[in-house]
Amino acid sequence: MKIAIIVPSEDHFATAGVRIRYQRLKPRLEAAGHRFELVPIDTVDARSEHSFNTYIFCKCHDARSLILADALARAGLHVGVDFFDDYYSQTRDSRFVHLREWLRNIAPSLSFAICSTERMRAGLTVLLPDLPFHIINDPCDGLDPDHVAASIEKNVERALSTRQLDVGWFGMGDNPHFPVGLSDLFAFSEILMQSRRWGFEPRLSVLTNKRSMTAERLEMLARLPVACALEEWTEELEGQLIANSLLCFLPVNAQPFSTVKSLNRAITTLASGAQALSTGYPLYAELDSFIYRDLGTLISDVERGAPALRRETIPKLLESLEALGNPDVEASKLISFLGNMHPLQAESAPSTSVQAVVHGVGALSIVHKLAQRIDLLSVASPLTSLELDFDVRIDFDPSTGGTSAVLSDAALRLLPEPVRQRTAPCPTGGKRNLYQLVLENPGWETEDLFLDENARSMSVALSTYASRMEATLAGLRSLFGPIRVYVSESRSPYWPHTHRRPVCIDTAFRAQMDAA
Amino acid sequence: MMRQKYILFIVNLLQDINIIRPLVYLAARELDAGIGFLVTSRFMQRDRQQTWQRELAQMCADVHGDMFIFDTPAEAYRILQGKSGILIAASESDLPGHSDTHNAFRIAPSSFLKITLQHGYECVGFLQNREHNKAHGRNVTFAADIICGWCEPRALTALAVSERPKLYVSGPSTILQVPTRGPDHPPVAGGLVCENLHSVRLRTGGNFGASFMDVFFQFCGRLAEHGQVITLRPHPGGQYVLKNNVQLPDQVTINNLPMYRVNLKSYAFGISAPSTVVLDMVLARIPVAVWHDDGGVMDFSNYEGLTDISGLDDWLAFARDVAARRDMLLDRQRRFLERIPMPTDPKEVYRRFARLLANGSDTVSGTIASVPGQSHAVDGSLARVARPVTALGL
Repeated sequence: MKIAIIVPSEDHFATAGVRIRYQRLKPRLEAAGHRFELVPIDTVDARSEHSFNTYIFCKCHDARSLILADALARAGLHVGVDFFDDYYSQTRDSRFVHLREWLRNIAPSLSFAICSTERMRAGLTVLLPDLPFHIINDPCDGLDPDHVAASIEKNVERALSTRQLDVGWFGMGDNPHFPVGLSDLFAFSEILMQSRRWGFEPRLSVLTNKRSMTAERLEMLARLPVACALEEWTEELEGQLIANSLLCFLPVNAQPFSTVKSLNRAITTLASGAQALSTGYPLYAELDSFIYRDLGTLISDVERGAPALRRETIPKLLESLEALGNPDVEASKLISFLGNMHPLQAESAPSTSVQAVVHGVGALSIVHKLAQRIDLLSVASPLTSLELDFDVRIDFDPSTGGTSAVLSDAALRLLPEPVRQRTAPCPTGGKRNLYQLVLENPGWETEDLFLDENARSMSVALSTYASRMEATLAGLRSLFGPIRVYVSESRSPYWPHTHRRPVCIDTAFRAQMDAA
Repeated sequence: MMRQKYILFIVNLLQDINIIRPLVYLAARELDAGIGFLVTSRFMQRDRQQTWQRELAQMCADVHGDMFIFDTPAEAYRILQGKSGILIAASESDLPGHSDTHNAFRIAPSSFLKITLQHGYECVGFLQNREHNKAHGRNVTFAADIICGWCEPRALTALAVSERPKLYVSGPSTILQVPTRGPDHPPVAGGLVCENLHSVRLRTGGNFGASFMDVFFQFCGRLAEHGQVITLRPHPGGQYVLKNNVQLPDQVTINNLPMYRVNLKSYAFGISAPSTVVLDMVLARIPVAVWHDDGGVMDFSNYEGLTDISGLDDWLAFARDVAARRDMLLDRQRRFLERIPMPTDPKEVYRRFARLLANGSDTVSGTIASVPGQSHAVDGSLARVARPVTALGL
């Protein structure tokens, strides 16, 4: 089997999710004779290179994944998505319209989906009821029992002799949309202060990502009730920190985004030799006998020399880890799941020859580049403020009151002959050859709002969005005839609702989505 | 291991040096604490000619201080970790231009008392003119625990209600400077004209800078007819004339030294648009005129009572008065100083600052326990940048 894990960029090879899930499976799968590679999305060529028979998209939420997934599925290849986070089921949250629409649009191309927890699967099967789901438990690379036991004993002894409670916190400190990470640490930090009741002075060390270290979050750290040392996360420092900490603090808040997360922080903590103290949502309940829910019990166990994780209990931890995330088992389960997929038929001939990606308000240059690399037309709608060398720009022309299209050489070649004859060279093209033509008036309902092109306000963009995008799509059809169109939109709440493709979602969910 | 007690000065804008310098020496003389400088990387970038880095390095060497350079809030956080004492900034507020300093105050541990100094006579958040209000609004706030104002509260009309309880009337720190004339002082030539063409005062209501320079050039022309010379002083932060390579007449001498190295008292007179340098010259007891646009758009009401001039005729009349009626001008300035409720006795200002810093450094705990032995904290990229620098690479 040849499996490609498609990630947004090479930077993602080292992110916790990809590193823990796929880097640990890779050697096992390769040893079993399979090809398994992490591939940055920009290096995938949907036209010719089908070096793999299964493609799994990870964290690729822009139109590049829609374009590639559609092309790969039409070529008869299996396409799946690994859902690391749930940005889709919170249908009352208007910040995620574009992500819900992304899911709706990629769904027809998918033949399977992957996630890391049963809770995540339960949430997503409501949205994608006919799609086979496979759960990959975060695999654990095992541990050296003697090394772990020695770390625990050293840390317990130091805590008892110094009355200092060394606490570690590590991981992503932020999320672009939800308060997590350092916010959770701040929210639950009072618990650490309780150690003073039992005569221990808490001393916290935090390892987190640079992006999260904004003045706002650092202000939270500065207001923690315990002394706190901060350092930028690296995998190596994470290992050192856990091994030097008596316990790691794993607070979890109960928002839906957080409750479907995997067990990897707890597993990493225990496998590296620190006690785990988790407060808030009981995310780590499956590791119950090793997870402290209150600091008093932990300290009392430490004082009597019998913390939950100690030399005698390491075999039991190994059993739990074996059941929860043995990499060999996870690798073979994945192969077995993928091997049972029904073979797909490639489309015999492309249904339409012209393909385009239409950029909306949240246009992305990375999508534009991919589109042009694989011979799609890159089309700017009147709402696109990004200045790129688009193949087609559809715009309202205040001088004529009509609508015009400006076309590149590539777009001109694809025009049917009668339309091509209506084009004229465009004088404002600079070094590029550009051609323009006036479109039949698509009937803007709100054209007066656009008289001042320099005043692009959000309210104007929002009020004219639907009609502008629909008119753009109509304009493209009038230019090229049958055309396969992908929409590139990276901002909520923008999305052209008439461009929804049929998605395998049940009626209840559709009603829910529409209401939102 | 005790927490290290520090008086830490944040250095961000070039003109900060002039404001903090007297307090650096005061702290070294009066307090039993380490002196440190928390320097923003943007300060280093702004100081293209390295003038202020040299001043900073000299000051740091004089007081046996430690110097730290930070770029991000995270680096500032790491530098301040484990330390306690007083954090002093000469330009801190919630305005974007002060964000480096403001954020350092926000993320400072509670073991620090944070003090913001008023850094000019008219100063955002303390005493604003109409141009300040237009550019920055009227609700400028500080992350400091204490703000040191130059005047009594009734005269600090821009203090936001939320900030009033933080006010400590210290008087201007710059009054403690003892001018030290160095061998590099340019010849004292005639009067001293100061430009602050970069300032929002000269930009917000119109292009007043051009009309200032026009009349300055006309004035120079008239002086040349009589073989007289004049000195021009660019604003230490703005340096407009130098940065824009403005061609100056032959009889103009430039004096670009730090203010505390300028022999102000020796100049025949001073002319400036509304700016703190006006007050410096008034305190140096030389005749001073405040320039304003001839349309009367600029707000110079905070300087009301001083001689104001606009067109060439006014400049010439002022120069004539300097020669003929010097005492009348100085008497006018004395009355102006009496009217603004600002401590101007250096001894009193010294006492006020010394009391504040002594009390402030006593109230913070220097003994938060940390048990001897190796910390479990790990050292990475932040720890590396948080170590003191040994030299500025001058």
